[in-house]
Amino acid sequence: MEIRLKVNGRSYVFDVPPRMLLAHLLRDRLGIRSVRIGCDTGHCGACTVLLNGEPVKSCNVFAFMADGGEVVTLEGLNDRLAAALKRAFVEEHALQCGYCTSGMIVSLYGLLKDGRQTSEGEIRRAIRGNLCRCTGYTSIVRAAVRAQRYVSS
Amino acid sequence: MRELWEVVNGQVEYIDDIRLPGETYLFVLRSPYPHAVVKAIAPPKRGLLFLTSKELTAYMPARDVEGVRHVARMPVLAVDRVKFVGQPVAAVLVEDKYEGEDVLDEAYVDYEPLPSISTIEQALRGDVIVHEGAPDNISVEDVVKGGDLDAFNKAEVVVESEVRQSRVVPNPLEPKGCVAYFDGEVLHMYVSTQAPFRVRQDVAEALGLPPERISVKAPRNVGGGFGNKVPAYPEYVIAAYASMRLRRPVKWIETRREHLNNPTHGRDLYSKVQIYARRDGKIIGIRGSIIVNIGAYNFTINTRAARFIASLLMAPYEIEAVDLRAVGVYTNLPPTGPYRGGGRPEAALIQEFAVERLAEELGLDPFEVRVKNAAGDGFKTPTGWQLGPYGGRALLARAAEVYRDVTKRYPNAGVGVAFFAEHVRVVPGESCRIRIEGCKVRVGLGGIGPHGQAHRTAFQVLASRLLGISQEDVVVELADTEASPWGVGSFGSRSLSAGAGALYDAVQKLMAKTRELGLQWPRDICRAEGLEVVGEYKGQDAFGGGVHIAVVELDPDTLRPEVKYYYAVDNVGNILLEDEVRAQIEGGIAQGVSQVFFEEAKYDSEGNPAFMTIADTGFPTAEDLRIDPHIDYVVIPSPNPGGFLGVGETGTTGGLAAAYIAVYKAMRKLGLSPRHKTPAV
Ligand code: FES
Ligand code: FES
Repeated sequence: MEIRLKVNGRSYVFDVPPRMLLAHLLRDRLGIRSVRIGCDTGHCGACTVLLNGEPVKSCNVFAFMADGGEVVTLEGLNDRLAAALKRAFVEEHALQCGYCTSGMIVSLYGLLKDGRQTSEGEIRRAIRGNLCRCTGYTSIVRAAVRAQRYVSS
Repeated sequence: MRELWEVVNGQVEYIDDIRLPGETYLFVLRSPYPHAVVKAIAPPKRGLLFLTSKELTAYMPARDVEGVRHVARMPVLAVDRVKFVGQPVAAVLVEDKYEGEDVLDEAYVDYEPLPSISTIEQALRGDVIVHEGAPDNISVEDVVKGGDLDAFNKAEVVVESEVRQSRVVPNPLEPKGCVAYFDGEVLHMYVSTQAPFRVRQDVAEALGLPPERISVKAPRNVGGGFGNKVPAYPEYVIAAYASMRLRRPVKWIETRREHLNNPTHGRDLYSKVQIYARRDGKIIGIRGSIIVNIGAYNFTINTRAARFIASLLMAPYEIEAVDLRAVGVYTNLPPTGPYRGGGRPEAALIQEFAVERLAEELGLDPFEVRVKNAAGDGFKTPTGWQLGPYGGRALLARAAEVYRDVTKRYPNAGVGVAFFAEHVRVVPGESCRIRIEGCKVRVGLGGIGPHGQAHRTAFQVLASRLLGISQEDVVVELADTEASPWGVGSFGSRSLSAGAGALYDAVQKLMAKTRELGLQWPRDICRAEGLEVVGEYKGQDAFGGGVHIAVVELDPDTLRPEVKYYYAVDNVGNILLEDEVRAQIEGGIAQGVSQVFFEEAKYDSEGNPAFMTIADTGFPTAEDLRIDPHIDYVVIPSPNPGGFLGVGETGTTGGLAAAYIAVYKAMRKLGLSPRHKTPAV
């Protein structure tokens, strides 16, 4: 079936099989590496992207369901908040193997994009669908707090 | 750090990002039974190639099998029988990866189920015999002893303790995977691995190929390993074989569902030990047994587990005697292997819980008992480990005040202390090749397989320092059997210790060579174009150590554990990247604590998994696991070149034991009887 999709600002028309997952479309047709597969049950969040502005697990969405929508992946996040998050992740050393990192950043971007100040509890809630095996999460929470500081200053 | 910037900017390459023209995809048909006879296999109608053990009869190598009573190597594809749920039975190669699962569904296997077992007790009772050659289900049984065994007679008290440590799924966030292609001469393999040389050796042995004809390389990024990505796996052997048959690249990417029941799982052991002491708290020795459930086969180094744990037990204490039985038993579960810490956390938990119980029994302060018995630097343990400048007493001195403070500040909490000597596996060393190319120095450490430790940066910093050139002029090549002549791998906290040794040697050789050629270093770097030297290091294992203090409160109603405070002081040796040291310890602690609070790969008594998803294995979310450890360290240079130690595992070694004891004591405070197992709540 034919779908229209805007990905990281560019418009595409794809012919996709009905069973194709959005995650596979992004990885296999567009070669987007930040969308990663870490599970087959929607638990890990390594595949998180923004769909029409909200973080979703792209392995939980069939490509056709995104028809007419707009997808933004880590590669397409280029504003001040995104820059703050990336910088804070590096400064807080909030990544080790990096496999969870793009999903984490996308989820946190979704949380912080309104510019509202959030608590540690809200940050943890926002990334509870993003698993990380390496960091123990605390450095990621610290990075989110630091990123908020960067954007509000 | 550039390495981290690359990740946040999405400039990464994990195994599934490697795409070769004409690649085909491997899918594996797995046993749904814990134990069964495979009576017949009907192939699917589609697919490029269908493989069973009829065509590909091969076995995975088992390591450390000297002195082992029975060795049952795991077939790459089941031969006549299956012995655990998830065991590979047949393989299919397909053109279109989206069709793989459908094609697999078309294959049909006729099984005749057999009785099966999953626990150490069942194995020892002999309820079912897993391998006919081992009628008692014992693969390895060894006595680990040393010191003056008569000293046990001097004891005034003997305190027994037992612990069951859960089976855990390693669950790196990136599952395993490989891409194999054969160019007619050489078999090339990209593998998401911690140890390319080990994978090469395993595949070579399994297929009967000379290792020189195999080249193994990890992609630039490996999404976590935790011991799970050290050896080769059956799927790598199948992919290699299929690529030679098809003369096309073959890719296999493990799904999480596969990962949950694939080798290797971690931990799964039972220990019962008796600590012998005087009434004043002076420890004399330890006796008892350590039994590891190694699963259905001898795979990678699982025969070593019990023996290694036994040998480490009580390492930081100046005791006189050790007499332990180390056993590995077969069950119908996936084979186990090293999991973050590979024996170190297991040993620390057994040992520290025993010391805690002793203090409890004698009514002594548990911290004081540790101080009283702590071995000085240079102590040689009864089992033969030379601790060297491991720093135990300095660590206890540093932690003493924190301990006194938290016991006052948190009267209702359980305070768990873990004191340990941390083993760093340097033996048998690493090699390093340095080559001058385009006015830059290329440093190759082919055995080092980083999977989230910023090793590329670490070696770049060290090499630039040793060579007196800028970091931009150093290019580091890791995890590639072509990058240096031989190597071992990134595990056992060894990468920096062993790797730096090899780098030092190579740098010295390079300097000697340039002098010989009448060149002035680094001024004449461009005139040294093409110059190549190989260094190596074959030093001794080293020890660091740590004291971790976990303060845990349990909600009286729900028993939900809360970490009120966590302090860790570790001897980290000389430091190259301070932030990375902290990050490794912090993450390591989380992984140890997580096992105490949440993690278990549960099986029923017949060996059927009771978990379907990563969440079911107890993998914690950011809401479950809240721990913000206070990380402190002492720096005592190790005897290895550069004075480095390793920090990949010390956090887990301390975290597992400290959190376990903290929960035990919190339970006691609530008047509840502790579980003597992980998860402890
Ligand atoms: S891959 Fe999408 S949630 Fe795990
Ligand atoms: S950094 Fe490895 S999973 Fe998060």
